[in-house]
Amino acid sequence: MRIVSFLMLLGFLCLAGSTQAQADAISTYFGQYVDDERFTVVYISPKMFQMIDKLSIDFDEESSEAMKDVVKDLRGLRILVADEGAQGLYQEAIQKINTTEYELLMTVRNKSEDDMQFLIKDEGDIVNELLMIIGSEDNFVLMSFVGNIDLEKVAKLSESFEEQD
Amino acid sequence: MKITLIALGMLMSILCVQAQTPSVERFFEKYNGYEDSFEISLQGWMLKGASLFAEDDVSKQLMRKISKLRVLIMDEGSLVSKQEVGRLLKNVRGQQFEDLMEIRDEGNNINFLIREDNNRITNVLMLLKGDEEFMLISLEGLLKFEDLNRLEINVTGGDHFKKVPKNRRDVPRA
Repeated sequence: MRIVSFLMLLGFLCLAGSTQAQADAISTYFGQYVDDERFTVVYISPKMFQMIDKLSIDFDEESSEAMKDVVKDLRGLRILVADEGAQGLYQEAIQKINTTEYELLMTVRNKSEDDMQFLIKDEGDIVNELLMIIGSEDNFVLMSFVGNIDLEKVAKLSESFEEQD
Repeated sequence: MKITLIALGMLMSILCVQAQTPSVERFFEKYNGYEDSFEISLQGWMLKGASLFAEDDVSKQLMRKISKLRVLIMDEGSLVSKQEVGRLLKNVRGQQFEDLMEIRDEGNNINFLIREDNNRITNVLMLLKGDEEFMLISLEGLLKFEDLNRLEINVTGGDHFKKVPKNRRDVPRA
């Protein structure tokens, strides 16, 4: 048990220490898709989040405060989107993600047949990574937020989006 | 001779805290004479002159803080190979450039990088490589963070600057 916690601590330190190489789910499990043309890949660096924090970027007013709150603790964001083979990719994704590392937070299935899974990777009280996997008929989205994520703030943020619909 | 020059150039870039980036400059020089390339380089008084055409005070002030603007546009994206782009990125990252954002979508690759010095942004680099176009924008100056937000360039690349993925659209609606 001690060895496991030592290894976890080491892993956490590596994650905290490295600026370039981020050990997020997309890099780890879906690295091969990064160069695949079928996918749209977005990467927002820690530097960008630092800058967003320093700037007062104009989001929609309602979600602005909530957004700022969540964003200031983020270190990085990776997004992977595919239009083709969405269902298959979704299945592949859920199977690949190691459930010892990532804890399933929530699953959502709604009437228009979107499947969604939210997973987190945490160290004690701190959530280091929030992973969203979405599979619908023609859309597969994988989003990985890395940082010090406070789930309460995320909840507030999604509430503010709901209010806008 | 060439090697000496390159070595000298690299040495200089390490010794001086200068806004110039040898690898970026070399890249511009290389594609300078190509038929399908369009290059524009504004600096010093020409840039200040361009600031007179700025529509509002904000843009005017902003342009005054930019010391050099260099743009390279090609209608044919394949003139620049992926390896070359990769090499350029690797070089600038080794020269204190930090990635801000990277987007790859349908054969188009966009990279945003900046270089800072003492909490001021000294360089901004935007690279767009697509199948049908290539664009490189290099900006040198002394910008504070707030300034970058308001940056508006009247080149077709301007809207790429604003193309910060709006997280909102990526957030799933449950």
